[in-house]
Amino acid sequence: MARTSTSIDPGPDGDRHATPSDALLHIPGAGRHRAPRRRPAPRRHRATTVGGDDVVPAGRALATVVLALVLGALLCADSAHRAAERQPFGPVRDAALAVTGPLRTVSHAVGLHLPREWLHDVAGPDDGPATAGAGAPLDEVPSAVDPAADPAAAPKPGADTSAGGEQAAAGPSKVPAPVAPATTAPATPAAPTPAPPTTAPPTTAPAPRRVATVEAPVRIWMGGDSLLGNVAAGLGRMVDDDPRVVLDADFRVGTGLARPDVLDWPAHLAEQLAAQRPEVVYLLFGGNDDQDMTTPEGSRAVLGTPAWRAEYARRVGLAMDVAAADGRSVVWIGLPAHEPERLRAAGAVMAEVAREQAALRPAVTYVDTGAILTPGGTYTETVAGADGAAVDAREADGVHLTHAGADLIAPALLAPVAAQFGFGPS
Amino acid sequence: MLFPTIRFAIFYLLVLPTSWLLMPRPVRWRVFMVVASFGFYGAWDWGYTVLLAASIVGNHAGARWIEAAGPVGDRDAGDDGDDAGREGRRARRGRRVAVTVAANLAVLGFYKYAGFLGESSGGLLSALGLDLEVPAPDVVLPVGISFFTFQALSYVIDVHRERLQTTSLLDLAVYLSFFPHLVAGPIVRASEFLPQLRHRRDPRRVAATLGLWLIAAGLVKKVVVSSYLAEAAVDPLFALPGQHGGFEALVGIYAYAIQIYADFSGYTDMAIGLALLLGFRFPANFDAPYTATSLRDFWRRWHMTLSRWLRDYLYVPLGGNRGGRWRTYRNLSLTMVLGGLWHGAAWTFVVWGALHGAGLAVERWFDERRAGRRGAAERHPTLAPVRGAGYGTVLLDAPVTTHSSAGATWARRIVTFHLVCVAWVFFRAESLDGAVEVLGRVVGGVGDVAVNPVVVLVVALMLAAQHVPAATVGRVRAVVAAWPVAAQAGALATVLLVVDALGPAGVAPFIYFQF
Repeated sequence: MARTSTSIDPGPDGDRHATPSDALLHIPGAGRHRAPRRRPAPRRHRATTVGGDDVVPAGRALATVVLALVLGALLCADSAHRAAERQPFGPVRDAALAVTGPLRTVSHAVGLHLPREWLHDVAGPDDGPATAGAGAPLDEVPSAVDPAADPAAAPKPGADTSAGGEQAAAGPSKVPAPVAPATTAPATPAAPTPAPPTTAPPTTAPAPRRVATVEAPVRIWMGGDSLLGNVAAGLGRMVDDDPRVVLDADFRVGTGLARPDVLDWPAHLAEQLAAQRPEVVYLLFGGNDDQDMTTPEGSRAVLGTPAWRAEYARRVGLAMDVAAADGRSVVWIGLPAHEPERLRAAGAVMAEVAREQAALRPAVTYVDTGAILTPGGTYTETVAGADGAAVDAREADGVHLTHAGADLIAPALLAPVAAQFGFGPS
Repeated sequence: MLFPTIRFAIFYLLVLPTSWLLMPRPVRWRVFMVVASFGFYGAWDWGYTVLLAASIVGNHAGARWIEAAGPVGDRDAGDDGDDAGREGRRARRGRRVAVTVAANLAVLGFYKYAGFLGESSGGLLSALGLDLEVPAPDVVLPVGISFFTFQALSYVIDVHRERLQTTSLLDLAVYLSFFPHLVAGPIVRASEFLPQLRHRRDPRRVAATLGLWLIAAGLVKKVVVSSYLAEAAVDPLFALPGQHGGFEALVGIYAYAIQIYADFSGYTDMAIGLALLLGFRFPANFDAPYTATSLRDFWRRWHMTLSRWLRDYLYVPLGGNRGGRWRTYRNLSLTMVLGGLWHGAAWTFVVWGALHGAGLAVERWFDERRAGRRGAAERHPTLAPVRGAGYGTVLLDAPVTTHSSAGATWARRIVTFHLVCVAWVFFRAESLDGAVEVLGRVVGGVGDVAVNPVVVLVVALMLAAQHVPAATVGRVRAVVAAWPVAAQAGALATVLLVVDALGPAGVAPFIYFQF
């Protein structure tokens, strides 16, 4: 971006400002850098120049700001309305919708929503699919994958064979809670697959599928909320030097299964899996699901009620079925206990639900990270590592895992895949 | 609350007119601004406001205590006062400023470094075979503590140096809590802010065009450029380096150089613009840093308010460039290492600072050798601190090569940019191993050239934009300044549209919030 310093004007003694900061820093009344006053601009603009800067009355400045914000609000009414809808249910959300709803109506009436829509379609980020309004997610399982497609992928970078590796779509950063949308193009959902099973099959360890090789590595895709960030990095560190594994991760901060109006994860899964064609899918949700939901019938399922549990079970099952479509193996990462009380209580229900749903599906393996990170179900920040030394496993928020915590659970996460594809940690 | 959010826009829309309406009543204006700023800060966590209030009260008391020790005066100005008395007062002032500074650093140290020191000590003891558990408190770092602590230190130290007289508690509260610079700078010194506070801002003369221009530029840089590069190239590289080829890793590193510039300069542009609309002028913080032809030049262009602060309150008290060559190198390196540590409690930041310190020392050594061969005639005299300049000022007494071809200048720019990028890898990485792994991918990575062309284009455009002359930007801004209100508002609304359409859903915090 161009430098934003002011133009340099000589002061009364002819000295030029040494640096742009000198030009910026004029102390009113100091007299050191006062530039000659030029002839006033035409009356209707009333801009004058003092010290190299164009200055106007405060009222005009305020009018410009207000008018810009009003125009901006009309131009961006759709995204403002969406932002309001994404708020947790409550008075703030109601108030925001009361403002943005009419704004959106006016914007659409005069067509002011069109420029943003066009620009976003042409060059905007891929925010992923979302349902209109805080409605329920798809109640059909979309499948966008050609059943005849070969899941074997090109080798990853560094392999002896030809190049063509994958790039992780997103990952953690030092910035707290970053937004990390993927950028792959959406695929068109195809016909729904049959309804999920309702009876539990015999429990068995994951059956071997094939032996992963350098020429035909196993492709793993991981999806979830922000909690997945460091978890994916931990698994990545385990397999980084193993050319038999290709790993992609796509985590979306602030999303989950509870709010499809923010991101419709089943639909997003269908798009991503059709494009990426993995053999194994890891899923991790729950960090943002401790909130009320809207059922397909339109009623509100309040957190902590049987209705909420039933609706969450339906959504978990749906996500599992989408992920397992087309013969994929699914690993559902069960979360440990969290420190915040509300999330801890809801998390226990989420874990039970996910475990139950996984048990109904032979292709799904449930990995309980709580057994490693919170033995006994009680939240703890530090756990004993493999060598007995204390490991600081949680970030200061009591929810996200540290890198050390992610490294602790990585072997358990990799184990199902290793069993199915004939390899262990290299 | 973050600047580029609807919530902040509503907040500012209430503060801006109220501020100008209250301007004829200085005391009410001050109270209003303190309340508004505390409300801004409390939006993160109301507990933080207690810390900020304690800092204001504590530093006010500390500065008054220092001043009460009595003046030292200026001997060269012909002060013939009692030497023994002056020395006694000097010693008292010295002890009192030491206590006040130590108190500030203790608070900063507890919140920022206690965990790091505990973990590092434990690791060291473990490496030595001593199985002792060192407490490593896990304390949440209050947003902006590094910034307002440094600003408070500038106040008490300038009072100690008799460059500033103590001010009222209310004025100090306005200075330290002023929301445009509270949480991520620029580091505005008391000597720069308090005089503006004492002169009533003229409501007929608001630098609105510059202010709105900076806000618009900051929004684009932060929300569009920085967020895009983070998601498209930087975060994937540093999360899973092994999944990236050599060229991909190189582009990812370049992308981080632009990301951190766009993020930080975008934020400070907005901060400066918001302050301008309220009638306050902040110092610039960036001046096309990637056009630098040396590391010294880079530090005269990057985070200029921090580099000036470190120069005046750390490098110079350490002895600066007085005391010979090796002492100068030591002071330079120590200042940069501590500057790195200021950014974060991690060894990666220490290494980042050490790399810059070593680079500056090596540059100085080379320049001294060249000057030695060319003769003393090319030496610059020792300069007094120049406002707005960074480390380069104290190094300007080293001989500087003045005759360079365009080719040589560009070669130095490219070399300097790459040296800075290598250091950035440590700044960004989660660990030293991670940094080495990323750099290793550049050197040893083979295979793919699956580089996102849009990332390359954005990086190239941002680097090119740094070479646009300030005068050109000024001329364009002057044209915009002549537009009527509706046209200016339309232009700003268009920027909001672009930012909203091209930015991600949700706003990532600014990188420097964590410092």
